[in-house]
Amino acid sequence: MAMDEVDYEIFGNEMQYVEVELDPGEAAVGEAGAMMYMQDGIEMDTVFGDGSQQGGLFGKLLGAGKRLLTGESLFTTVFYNQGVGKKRVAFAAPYPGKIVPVHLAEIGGTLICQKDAFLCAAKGVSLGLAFQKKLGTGLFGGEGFIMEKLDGDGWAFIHAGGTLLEKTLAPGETLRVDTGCVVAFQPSVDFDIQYVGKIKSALFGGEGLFFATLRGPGKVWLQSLPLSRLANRIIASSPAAGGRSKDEGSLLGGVALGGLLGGSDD
Amino acid sequence: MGATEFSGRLFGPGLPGGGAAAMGCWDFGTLHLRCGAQEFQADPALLELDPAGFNYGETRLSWQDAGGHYAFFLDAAHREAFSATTPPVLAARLAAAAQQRRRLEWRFRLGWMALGIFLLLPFLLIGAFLIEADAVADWVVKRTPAEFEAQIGELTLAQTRAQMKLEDSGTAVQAIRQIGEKLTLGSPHHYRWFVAHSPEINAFAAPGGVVVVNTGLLRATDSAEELAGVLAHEIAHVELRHGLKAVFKNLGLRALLSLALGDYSGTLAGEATASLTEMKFSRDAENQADHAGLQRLAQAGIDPRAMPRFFTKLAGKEGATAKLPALFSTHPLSDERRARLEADIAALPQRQYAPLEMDWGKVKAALAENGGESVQN
Repeated sequence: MAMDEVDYEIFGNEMQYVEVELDPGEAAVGEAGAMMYMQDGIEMDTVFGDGSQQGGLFGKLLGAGKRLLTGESLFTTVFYNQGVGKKRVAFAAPYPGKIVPVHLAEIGGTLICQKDAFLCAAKGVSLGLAFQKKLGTGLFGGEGFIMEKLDGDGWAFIHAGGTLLEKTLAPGETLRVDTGCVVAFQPSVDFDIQYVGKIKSALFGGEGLFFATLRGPGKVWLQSLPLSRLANRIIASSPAAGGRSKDEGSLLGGVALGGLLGGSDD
Repeated sequence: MGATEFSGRLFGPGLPGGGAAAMGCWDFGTLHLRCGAQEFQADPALLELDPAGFNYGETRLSWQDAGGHYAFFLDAAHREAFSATTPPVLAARLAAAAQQRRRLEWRFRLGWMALGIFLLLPFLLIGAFLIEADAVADWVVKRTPAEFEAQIGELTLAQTRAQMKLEDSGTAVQAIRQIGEKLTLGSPHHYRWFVAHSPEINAFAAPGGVVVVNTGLLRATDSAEELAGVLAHEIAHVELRHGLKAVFKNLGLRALLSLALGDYSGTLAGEATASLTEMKFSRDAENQADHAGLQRLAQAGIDPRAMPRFFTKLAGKEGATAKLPALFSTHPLSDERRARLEADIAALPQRQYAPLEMDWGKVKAALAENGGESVQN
């Protein structure tokens, strides 16, 4: 089926949201809970699965089950423009990072991405499950065994932590990536792992035992700061979670005044 | 060309980074590709064909020429049209690619299967243990040193002492020892005999040779032979190491349960032995003890017929109206058991048994003097 063509605009710098413009009769699907605001005339409908299945109950259940495995909600929300004239609906990223629009038709119709990277898309884009079948890559590649597959030919918006950048690999070109930083890639890209090479580097290099390798041709999307890494840093410096609070060195922020002015939670 | 055309995605210098849709065909072994207005040709001698991309899911044709490095990814839907017209040079490579894809799939499934088995392993072990518990426990019991068994007996004795008063001397204990030593002649275990001050009609044996008889049971007996019947049964439990086996069964099950369900209870060993005094042996163990006990009585020259007679008497006396004696809560007297006892006795060689030389009335009188409560001796 033909995709709905949507116009969009991305706002914000580090904590972004995307505003999607819908013509009358057009629709967009969003990850449940991602909607930020919508204008008059847009009707919201929650559907089981991803709204692209045309099959019976079984097909819908299967689709929903797959979504559950990929870490998405069982339901997606479809936003229809039932009014006259163009209307807008916005979807916000759930944590600091960038939203990247991907036009699926331009990359051949299929995008493989890490689970829960999906934010929203034109109605008709189907969300599927893509198992990472290389055991080594699944175990050590940083993305696990369950990935997500977006199929269609319209716009899809993916989101990941930190800065999200698109890289284009020529045929045979290989990029070594820190595990966990791979967000999405075209299916023509070979996603594999490579041992860092030296015992010393493996133990003390800080990059772990393996790199993820991406071999072209095709486009890949990388994130600079996976959420888990950010979360680790936050926990490490959170006194409530057993971390150490570091004072910032100013006189007013010092122990005495800091304690007096409300830093007495512990 | 029509039917022999196949579609795919072409990557290379001058083409969009995400690749461009292209149509291809074979023309006398040369690959012709049409991508928009551009045309490409590839010499089959320079062509490489291999599986590539995510999960090796794509079939890739790549070649290097003066223009640079090109790669053509065949659409999965056109794989058949492609392979039907592939030059023989590449057909073998195509088969190898399919083989590699299958191998990946197979290994992936094997990996998941291994993971599943690993996760289910504790439950499988529990299942296997439940089915083969007797064999496993027997195996362990055979390899357990007697000292360990004696230690467990010691532990049980200490726990029993905390719960009830135990006597290890006196007329009754003397009588029990006298009968017991006849029955345990030549045993590797070091037996110790105790009388517990409890009105319950019960007796039990702990591993290693600790035998405890309640005063209630002594009062219920009419002759030394009747007591000998009960003692023979308990001694048979010790000799057959049933107590130790039950401990290992219990321990093994608990260890497996904690493996499967995580830490769910306190110390394993303590609880396993704590229940030993109220331990129910399996029906098989009881039958074995009955059988071995009768043999033991016959060998010691004590009339074995007193054993079923005593059980029947107790069951008949109290079974109809009040609650059954405690002995029967752990040793239920079914018709089947009685029948088996009778059959075992009938199978023993016929002989005359001399009555035990013991003034049973005096033993019971000594119990009455003590009132069953005092431990001063």
